[in-house]
Amino acid sequence: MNHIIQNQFIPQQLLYFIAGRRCCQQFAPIFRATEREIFMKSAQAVGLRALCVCSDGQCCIKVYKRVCKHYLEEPKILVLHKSTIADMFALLDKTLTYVEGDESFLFSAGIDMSVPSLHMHLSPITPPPLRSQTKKQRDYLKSLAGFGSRDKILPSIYAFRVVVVNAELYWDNSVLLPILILEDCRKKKLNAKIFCIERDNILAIYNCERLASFYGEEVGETVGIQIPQYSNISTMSHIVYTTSKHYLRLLISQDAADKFQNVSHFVVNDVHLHDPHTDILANELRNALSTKSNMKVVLLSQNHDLQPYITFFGEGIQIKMEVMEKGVTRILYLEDIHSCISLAGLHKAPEIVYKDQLQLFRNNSDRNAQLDNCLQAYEQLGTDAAFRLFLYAVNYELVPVNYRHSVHGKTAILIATQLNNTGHVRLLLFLGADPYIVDEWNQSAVSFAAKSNSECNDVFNNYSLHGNAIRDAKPEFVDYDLIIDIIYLLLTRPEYLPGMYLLGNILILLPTYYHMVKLNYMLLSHYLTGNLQTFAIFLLHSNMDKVHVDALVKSQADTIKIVLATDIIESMRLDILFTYSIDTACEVRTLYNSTTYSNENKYEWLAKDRLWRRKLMLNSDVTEKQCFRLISMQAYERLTETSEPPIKMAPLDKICLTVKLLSPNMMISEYLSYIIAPPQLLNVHHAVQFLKKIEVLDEAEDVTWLGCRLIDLPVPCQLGRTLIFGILLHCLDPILTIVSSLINTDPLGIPLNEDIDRLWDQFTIYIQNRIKGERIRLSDNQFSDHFVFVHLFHEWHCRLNNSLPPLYLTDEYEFIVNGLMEELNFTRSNIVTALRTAHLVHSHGQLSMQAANSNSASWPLVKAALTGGMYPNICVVDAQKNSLKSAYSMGLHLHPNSVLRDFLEPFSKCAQKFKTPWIVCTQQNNQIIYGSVVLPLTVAMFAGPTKLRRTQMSQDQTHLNNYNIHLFIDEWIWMAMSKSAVELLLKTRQCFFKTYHYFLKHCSNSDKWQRNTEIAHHPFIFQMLSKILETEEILAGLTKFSNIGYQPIVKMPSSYLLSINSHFNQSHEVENAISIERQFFLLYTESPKQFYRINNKAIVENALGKFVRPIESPKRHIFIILYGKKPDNVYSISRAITIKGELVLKEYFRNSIPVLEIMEACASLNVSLPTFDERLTVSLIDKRVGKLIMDLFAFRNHWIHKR
Amino acid sequence: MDINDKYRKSQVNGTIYISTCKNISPALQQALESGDGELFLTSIPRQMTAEKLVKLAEHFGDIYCLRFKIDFNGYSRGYAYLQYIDAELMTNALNKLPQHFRSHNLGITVEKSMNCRVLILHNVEELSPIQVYCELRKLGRYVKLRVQECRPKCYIYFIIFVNNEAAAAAHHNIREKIGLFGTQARVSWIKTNWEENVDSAACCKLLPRNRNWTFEDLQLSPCGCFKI
Repeated sequence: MNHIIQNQFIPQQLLYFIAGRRCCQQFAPIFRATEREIFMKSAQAVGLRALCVCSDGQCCIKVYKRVCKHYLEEPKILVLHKSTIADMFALLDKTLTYVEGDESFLFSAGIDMSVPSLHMHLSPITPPPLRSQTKKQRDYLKSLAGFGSRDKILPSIYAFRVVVVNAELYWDNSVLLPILILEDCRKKKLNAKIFCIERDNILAIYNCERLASFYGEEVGETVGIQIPQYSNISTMSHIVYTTSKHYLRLLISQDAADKFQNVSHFVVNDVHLHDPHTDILANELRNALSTKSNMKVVLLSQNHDLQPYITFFGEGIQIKMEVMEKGVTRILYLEDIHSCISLAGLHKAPEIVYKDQLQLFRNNSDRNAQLDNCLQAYEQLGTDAAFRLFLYAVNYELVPVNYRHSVHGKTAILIATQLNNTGHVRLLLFLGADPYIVDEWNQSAVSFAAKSNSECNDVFNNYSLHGNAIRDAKPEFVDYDLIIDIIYLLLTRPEYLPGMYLLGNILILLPTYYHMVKLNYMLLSHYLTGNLQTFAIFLLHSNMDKVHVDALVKSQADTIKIVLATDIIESMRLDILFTYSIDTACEVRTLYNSTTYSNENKYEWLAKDRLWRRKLMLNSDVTEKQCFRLISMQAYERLTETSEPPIKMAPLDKICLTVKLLSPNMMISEYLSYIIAPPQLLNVHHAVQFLKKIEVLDEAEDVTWLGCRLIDLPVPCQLGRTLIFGILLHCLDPILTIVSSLINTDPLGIPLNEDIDRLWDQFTIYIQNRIKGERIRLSDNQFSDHFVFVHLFHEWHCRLNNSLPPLYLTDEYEFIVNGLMEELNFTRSNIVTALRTAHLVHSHGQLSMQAANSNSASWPLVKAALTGGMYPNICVVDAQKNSLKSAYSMGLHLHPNSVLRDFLEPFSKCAQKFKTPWIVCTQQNNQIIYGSVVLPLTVAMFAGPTKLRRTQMSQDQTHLNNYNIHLFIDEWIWMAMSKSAVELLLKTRQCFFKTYHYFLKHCSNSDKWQRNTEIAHHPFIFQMLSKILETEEILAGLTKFSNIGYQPIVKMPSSYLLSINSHFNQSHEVENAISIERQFFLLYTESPKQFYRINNKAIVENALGKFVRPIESPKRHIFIILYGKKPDNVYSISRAITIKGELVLKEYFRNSIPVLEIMEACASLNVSLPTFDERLTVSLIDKRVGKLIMDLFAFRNHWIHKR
Repeated sequence: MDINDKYRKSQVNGTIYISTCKNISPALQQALESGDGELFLTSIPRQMTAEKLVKLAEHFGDIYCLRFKIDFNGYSRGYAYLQYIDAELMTNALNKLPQHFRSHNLGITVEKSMNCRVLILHNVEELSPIQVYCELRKLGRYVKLRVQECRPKCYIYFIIFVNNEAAAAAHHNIREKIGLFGTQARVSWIKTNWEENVDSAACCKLLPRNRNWTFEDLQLSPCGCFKI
């Protein structure tokens, strides 16, 4: 037998492997210890490399081919400093005294696992009391379009248990159907308890309040609501609103017998969107129907194809409401929009041209020099190899494809044309290069081609026919300039639009919150400079406070409203009539990529059916409505008819956990295969493996205590685990900031050329360098992107000094930061509430917020929490191979966004700067977006499974040096250290993870955390740990961090954008921008700071009174420009306006612009310069100069002007 | 008699209310609403439910309202507020309820509720009293706002609510948005039974209640105080 294994089986296995495509393979632990050696020898004999590794606690052999990049050449050495050893001894000495003897809880874990229950008070089901409808209610019902078809709907609900209704948003079925059912039950004295399931909290609140106001009651009477953080429900509540996610959470904590008790009807809204939680709920409902024979399920869809639901439930009826479309909607695609705009000859850019300054920004960075060399080399050689360098820079280093040489201004496409290389020209055009850019001799690629009559001429002829089709075909670039152009077209030159024009509300559909904030600033700056007439801006997105919706609903009917919204508006029925919509036709989705084992955010075009539904949102009574789609006709034709259910590609970790808790006795993959749109099996498998790795599930796929706690946190599992490590290591505050930053958009992401608006896109390289510089400044030599988040939030917070952001504009970046930080703050406070709900943080005792933040100032501990929480996203620098090794992906590289490397810096060079080889990272598609360099000690202590097994250690007999104990935390986390070090380390590890298990198991029992005895959660440990890590950091050569401590945040209403938008729209003057006269005054002040502080009304009134009387009239707007000497700067521009009989200065912009800049701008426009004299308090200046200064304020770029 | 017929139960966030379905005269209703005869029950076991408590307390008379505090998991947080329709029952209940509970093996203690319904807001910088008044109006309903100038230009605001419950809700709301009143602002309870000892000073200017003040209205008296 042995003989057969040795001589036949093993060589055969190896041969199969060599013939296969895989670069490395792990062989299952079927071999006895002696055979392992034979296996390794025979592998080496056929030219393979073999390693004995530990995986899931079992010893296996991993075989690598020569080309494989997964092979770790040798272990990383871990050395502990003497003082560290002494400290660790002291630490262990303290802890052992009270941890010992309480081992039992460790091993009993998993037996009495129970998910914390979630309370929902549901009274027994009763018939609703008889009540007659008021006239108002009757009228309202009659006004609803769907009321007429009640004779069609109600009998079907009685006849069938499952009813699928297809109706557009217009029918408002999510409110109408509950009313119809309840009113009918009232008449017939039938039991009723209707559950309305929405997909989002904000929708549940909105619809619930609308229904309550229909009954003329407060929420909590007939209509109740139960969502996380808000519940209001009583015995009289016959209609309860909730979200599918929350209802599933409720089902998890209920016994099988209690599930779906006391419910007569389920009205599930928006099933066509196939939200994963809604789909899972549909499956649960199907299972429940087999036992609860009286339950009725009503599914509301906006999709025509209802048959899948009928097949899924195996019963039921479909009802289709006809599409109601009032009037005609004209759809304009990108081509039409462009032709309209060029016909109208819009000239909206401010008059200042920064032409002369361009040279200033060139050739002042290494990056420019490198790129110049690159272009020069290409020009001289003209080979593919030389071209490839430039392509690399464009594809991986964010270099704009239209980069111009610093000296002669040639672009790559011009050089390629000169070289007459059509292949390169085509490729560059594909990448979005503009052939019309001219060099120093006024020669562009097109003109050169025409002159020389080369082959490239055909390429350009073809290009000019189809335009820049490539850029337009990419969904990820939202063309803000075009949106602004359309607004200008609508508000100032409507006659150039096809068809009739009537003033009306505009709806702008954007993919993310970030886009909304950016566009909001652009709209405001164009409005304030007086180029557009009055409009009110509103924002709608899913992660927001209810006040935003209220503000829109209660807004005045007579102003023009511009509503910026994300896809939430597809499910929210507003009583606002829209005449125009600008649809970016794209969305951003988080996709799971199974080849790289990572998530990525991807912009995608929407499917045709969603675009069609968005078009139907134009509901005004006007006969002709216009829908601008920012997609070319060609691209539109290629779109799919219906959208794919998101669960197919979405990250599945949270869904797998929910499913497992819902039905603990079923395999996750089996359960998910039963739902209506099952996800890919491979993705499910990966998600389950991942959950096992981070110990949310155990080996047998049962949920651990960690899983029970994570289900209540509104973040992905891995980030939830990071939060738990943050609480355990008492540094919650920075971890909270990091986790919420990772969920939201990064304000300091480095923009691509296409992201920068038209005004500044010449300066791309400069702006990119400045942002990178800002990131490096914020990272404070910590080699950490996560530190950038903490530092940025801290700075923003300090700058505001616990008050609301001021109501004036500075520049676009400031505005965006305020908007994004407000969102981040909102997420943060939501997470804190969820932590409290899950009892992970208590109101007092040892787990209070104060206690959980006692070490927040210690950055090494924060990194330790990140290491523990982000595992397995840890990678190691392999200096010999010049590469990064990680758990899954092979060719991992650093994104230029990260502070760990500079632009165009080769990896070998930047790796030398890192003081240690370990990096904790957030990766997207083989790229490390955010990374932090961490200590080997941190990795050894906190990464990996909570219980290390004996097989994960081995003694190396061959090397007789000190570091002969090998520790395999994971196959790529392989360390060698001395025996004494490993013993200390393991003991500390054990001690820490004991606290970890104890915490997870007992955190909901608040009594245990009140007393100081018995708990192994002593502050001493963490002070000691923090000290140990700090000394080790200094020894490793990392600089000491600047102090960023925990500051309790004064709670603010999150309504900066709301208040600033309403601030600038307070005056309800219906004005026509053209007929208004604007007067500008210069006002001198000695110190602007003092001017802002004191009450300046009297000064202004006195000074202005000399010039104009009456000071202000509807036809005349007065603007005051504040300036000062030493330094010669202009500080702010404000409008003098009379509110309630009092002259008030309403500040529009505040910044500081050097007078020199204004002089230059005046000179370039040939207007006379005003006198900036300190003797004159007030002086009237030329209108054109005033307008110019206003533009200089409004269109300032933070990165270019702030020096 | 079934508890569901006699009482109405509702839950708002972390409070379960069980209140009577009986018709009560408006005068009595008002008295009860302002916290007449309210009892404060503590040391309630975690597993105790509001219904059980009502059944036990009903022994002495009809209950007007029970406010039973629960945590996120639906368990008792250890305390509750109880009111009988007949406020006179309070003194009786103070003695007899603990005994009654003890006979059912429950160690619930019964005290007279302090009915704290005054909040104090201080260290408000930058905002004038009238601005504070407007901000507070947005945050919720209260009975009266009294402003005292303790030092020149330094005010203390006493916010008086109809009952403890409204005060507690407002306390939460104000704390959520404390940033509106400046960085140093604090809101806290006044624990003692707060007496409305002094009526407004003679210099106070009376503002009409309808809130449409003109600019002249706000030209306050020299001391800067006003009454609405």
